[in-house]
Amino acid sequence: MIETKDISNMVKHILRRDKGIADTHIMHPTREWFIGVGMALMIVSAGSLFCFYLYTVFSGKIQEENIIIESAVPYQAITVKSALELFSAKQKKFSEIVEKNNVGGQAEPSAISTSVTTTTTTTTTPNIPELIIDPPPIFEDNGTPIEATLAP
Amino acid sequence: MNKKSHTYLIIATGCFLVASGVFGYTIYDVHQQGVRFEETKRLIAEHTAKEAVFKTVQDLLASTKDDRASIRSYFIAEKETINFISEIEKNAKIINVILITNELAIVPKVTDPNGVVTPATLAVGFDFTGTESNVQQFIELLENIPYHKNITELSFVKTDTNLWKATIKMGLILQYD
Repeated sequence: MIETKDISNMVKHILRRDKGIADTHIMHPTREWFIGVGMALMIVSAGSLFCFYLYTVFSGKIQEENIIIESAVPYQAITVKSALELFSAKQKKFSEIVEKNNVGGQAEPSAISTSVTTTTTTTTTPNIPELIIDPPPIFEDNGTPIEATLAP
Repeated sequence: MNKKSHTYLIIATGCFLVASGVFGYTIYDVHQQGVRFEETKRLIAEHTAKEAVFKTVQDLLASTKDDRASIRSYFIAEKETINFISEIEKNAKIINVILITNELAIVPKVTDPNGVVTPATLAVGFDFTGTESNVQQFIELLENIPYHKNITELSFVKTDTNLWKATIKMGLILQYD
């Protein structure tokens, strides 16, 4: 008859047999080589990816932040040109008027120039209403001003 | 795993941790250098921009020198006041009108509370008498004085001697110092 002790011995025998032969090698060069190479590849890949990430981030920043040169001091060349033309025309007109009247020589004796303190010899008639016109342009031609209005 | 393998594992782990630490520090340093690079780049950009503006202004000043001189000549200088009046009086003689200078004053520059500057002006006023044609011509002459000015008042009447008497007041903008 099989007793508990026999069953126990049988189980112990089976378990001892499953352990197999103990590995007596300390090093496994092939396995450890591949593990090392695999880890190195992983580290190099991760580093490469991170470096690529850094490159894209910084290169993007450089492209985004291009040097922005402030706009130059505004110079209104057209306005200056038109002003110069206007005043040049005025100067020309001024000279023409003087030249036109100066052809016959210097002033007639009747033209008297006086200062502020000089008493004028001109006479005015109070009954004649004063004509007031708006400032320039005053005379488009040599006739009487058209826009003249009577003062109140 | 025997004791020797265990030792190797600890050493390898230590080396890995040290390498990881060095790698992390390198990344941190790269980042710091990047930040410094950004600041330097911004500084260089500002300097470059300022330099470009400076050069533009220099070129502008050089290229507009004649124009600026011309424009300046269209503003009367304070010291030219007497010459200006003399010139007007001389031209009055030429056009044959009797001229009286009834106002000559310098209105100083005014800055209102809003910071708007009204430039200094030379206020002049003339009364002149002559024939209709001469008065018209003299008014036209005064209109075309090659100085920047505002005609503030102009009136004229016909006298009983068939002459015309006109009054004009104007403000000529004085040159800035």
